[in-house]
Amino acid sequence: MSFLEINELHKSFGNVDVLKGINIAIDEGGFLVLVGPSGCGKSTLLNTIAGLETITSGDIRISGRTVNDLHPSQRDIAMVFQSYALYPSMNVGENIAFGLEMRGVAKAERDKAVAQVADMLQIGHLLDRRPGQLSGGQRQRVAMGRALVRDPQVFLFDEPLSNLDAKLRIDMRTEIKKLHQSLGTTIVYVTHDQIEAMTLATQIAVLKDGILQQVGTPAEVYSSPANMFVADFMGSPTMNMVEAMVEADGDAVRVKIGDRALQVAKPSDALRGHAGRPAMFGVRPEDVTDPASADGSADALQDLACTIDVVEPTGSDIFVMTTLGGKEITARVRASEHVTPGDAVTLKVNMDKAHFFDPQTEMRIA
Amino acid sequence: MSVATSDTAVRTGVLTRAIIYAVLVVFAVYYLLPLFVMVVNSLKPLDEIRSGNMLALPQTWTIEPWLSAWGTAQIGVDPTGLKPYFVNSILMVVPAVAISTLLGALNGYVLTKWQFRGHRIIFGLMLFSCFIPFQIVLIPMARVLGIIGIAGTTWGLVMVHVVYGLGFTTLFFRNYYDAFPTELIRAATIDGAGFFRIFQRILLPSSGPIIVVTVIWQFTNVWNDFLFGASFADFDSQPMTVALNNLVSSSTGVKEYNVHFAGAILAALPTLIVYIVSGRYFVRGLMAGAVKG
Repeated sequence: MSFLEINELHKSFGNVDVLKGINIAIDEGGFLVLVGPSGCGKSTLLNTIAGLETITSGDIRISGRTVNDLHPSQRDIAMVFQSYALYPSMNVGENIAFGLEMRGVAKAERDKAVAQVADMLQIGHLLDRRPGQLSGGQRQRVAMGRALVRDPQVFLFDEPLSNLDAKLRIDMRTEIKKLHQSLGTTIVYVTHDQIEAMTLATQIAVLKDGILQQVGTPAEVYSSPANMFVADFMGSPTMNMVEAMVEADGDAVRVKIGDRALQVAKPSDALRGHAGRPAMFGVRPEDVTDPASADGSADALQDLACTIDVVEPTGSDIFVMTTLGGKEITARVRASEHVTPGDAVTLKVNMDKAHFFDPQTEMRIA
Repeated sequence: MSVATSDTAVRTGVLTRAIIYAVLVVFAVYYLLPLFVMVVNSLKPLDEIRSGNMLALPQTWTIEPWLSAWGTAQIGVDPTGLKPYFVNSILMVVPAVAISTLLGALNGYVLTKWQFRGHRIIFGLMLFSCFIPFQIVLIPMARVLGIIGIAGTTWGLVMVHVVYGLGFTTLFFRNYYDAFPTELIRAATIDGAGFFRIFQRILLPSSGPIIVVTVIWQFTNVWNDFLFGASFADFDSQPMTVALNNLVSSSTGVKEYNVHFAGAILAALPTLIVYIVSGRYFVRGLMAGAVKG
């Protein structure tokens, strides 16, 4: 049985349905990231797990115990908020100890626990300061310390890094990951940043308009997105999507995009069954590359002759915009490649990594 | 803000500044003049006031009028001075301010952080109470005080002022707490703090500025109130304002203007002190509600 289970969860505010039947389960020690665009219901979902919002129907179970009607303080969870929510009138030590104090833990024991957590997060020298005297990164640590000190069954993080500057955000991301690895506590983490989701999660749940689009490991969500929304949302730059026709030619299957045809190496039965009908052809920028950086082990590298429109060097790679089937697509080439706008080049498309979606239902075909 | 001020100051001409200061000085003198007249004349013997210039400094300095106003002047029937009435006022003001401030804070807390169905209507009705003229409630209030059995007592006055002040104190605290981050309440909820614990440990310690505003506002209003004091108090519970009126308007004997001046200053002194001590917090508190963070 899973450690945290959410079954058929519905939540409405008045007659607005915010969550429409969410089903998620994660194992103990898992790191679940809820990701989606703003307004998709991910924070609401987290708040229902915390007990800060009531649920309209469904079930939430933590470690086999149904917590639907339990007060937030009795669910054995701790939460880190986007604004950190440090109590402004208390110093750092009091902030961290507050939860223990409310639970009637003796002073000596509290001090010991605070010292231990402060040591772990390297904030021991800050214990006497007020939150107002701390930098953003320090506040973030204190907020985490306040959650850690309680040693709960589940940690809930509500966009904890979104108020930090870019560099600090990456450092803290690594630190959260380390913390998870050393503590092994189950974590539910909300973010709108798909890179955070990919780097941290053991399970990603993608939400849109209160409906769960896909749950899976980062690799699953990235390499086999369940629908066009997930394909578009995960990955940066986003996946190239072009309208195409699927055509069967004996055993072989190819996609026609405008007047070009690309062979599909090992077509699945589903794709074969789709022959003769239009489909959305999707391929990620890293699977459209210069010949030298193409994946040599791929079964089917297809040539794509094209003209370069725009060149965007990032340092490690160059992103190249070109046109395919009347739509702009992005390719990723080596930084050492000499490309300038207007060049005619031949790029390699890795058809092993091609994605096909039904244009009507937007669901994945293959 | 200071940057902007010095910036405009550089660009303003000397003449303009001179005019601005001149106008300010004129207004300052205009506002300070009554206080000057009161202080000066309260330190003169009565003869000097009768014969001389109201604006002149005393030729013979005396604190006799002050002692008389405080301890021996004839008020009503007894020559008690203002002292017992000052005590009455303190006994009325302190509980009235404390209770109305505390209740206002609780109301503000509930109306912003524990919202219930119809909380807007309740708040609207409470706001409405700020605009009800005193005169309208005089008779109903007298009836209520009679029924409760606290008519003519200091506690009766306390209740009247608490009821009347609640609209304002609620308004102040509601607006202040509205800007208070709800995530803090949520964090405390998860930490296991209950309704009153959150109020006491999280909100109140952060409410300094608005408490000062409310206390000044309530103190001034309750202390200066005359109508309720005159209507609902007995002889032994009359506040300072009513006693001052009795002192000044007594129809028997000589009009001791110097004593009247001294008495008026004594009556105004507590509010003056409250302003001087906490005035800068007052401005800061008014700003705090408007500008977040």
